[in-house]
Amino acid sequence: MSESQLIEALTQGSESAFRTLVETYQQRVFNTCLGFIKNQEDADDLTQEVFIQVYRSISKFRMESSLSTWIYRISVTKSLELIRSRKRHKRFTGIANFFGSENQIQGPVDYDHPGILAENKERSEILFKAIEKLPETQYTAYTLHKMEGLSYQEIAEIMNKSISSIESLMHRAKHNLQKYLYRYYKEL
Amino acid sequence: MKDRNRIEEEVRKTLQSLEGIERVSPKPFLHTRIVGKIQKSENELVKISHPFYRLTYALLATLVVINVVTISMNLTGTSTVDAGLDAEVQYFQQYYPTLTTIENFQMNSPHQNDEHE
Repeated sequence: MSESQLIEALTQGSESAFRTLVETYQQRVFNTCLGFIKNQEDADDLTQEVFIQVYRSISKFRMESSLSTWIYRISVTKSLELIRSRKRHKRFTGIANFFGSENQIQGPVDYDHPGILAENKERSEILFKAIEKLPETQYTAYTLHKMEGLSYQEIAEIMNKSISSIESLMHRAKHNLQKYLYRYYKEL
Repeated sequence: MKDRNRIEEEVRKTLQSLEGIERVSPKPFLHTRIVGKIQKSENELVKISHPFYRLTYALLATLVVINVVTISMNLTGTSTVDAGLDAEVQYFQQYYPTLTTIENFQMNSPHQNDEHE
């Protein structure tokens, strides 16, 4: 089934087309969400939400980009929304703790990504902490390139930016990570 | 760690630690779970659009409107009363220019003067 046929069938509410869509894109969506969220349970929930949104808004899809780009865009948007809401919650909890409340949220500290080679586990944990400190656009571009293995062209389409902007974002992200890691190892 | 070259080597190795990352599979039966979630949310939507819920929301909305109208009418009434009082004070001040307070009014009142006489 071609992409346009799949979209047509999805628009008509075909259940088998939706199954095909989930089976085709589930790994990409799940790994993108996991790259941002760094928690398998949350990434699984988010993956479901992404597909539910695709199911509900497929009629609004204008085919201005490929289906894959559109699905990646939804995955990234939903992941960033969750991260932002967590940050807001963390700030609120910080204020609440200041005033005596004992609620605390557990962040993805020392995250052990199941897809990382055993010999790289320890270093990747340090790198994840550094990546989380990057500004949102650098974080997005770096995560999509390094975790999902997307090309600059694909990232540019997902983020609605030019390829040169993505190159610039990646350059700044690497520079910032080097600075952070240098400080980290110097203090050891 | 103090040796600059060693630090730079550690940074380089750490930046390369994501290389060779493998894709992870989601939990099994993802499609079934998604369809279950869609059906659940559609059932909830049907439940919300049931006549009983519609009537409840309509009654709640009516109560809110009645409350808002009552409060706004009360506020308008108070300001009308205040405006009336101000008009009366101004009227009296025309005849009793020294009048600034109630006490002054009582002291300057012609009836009070009559009583003293």
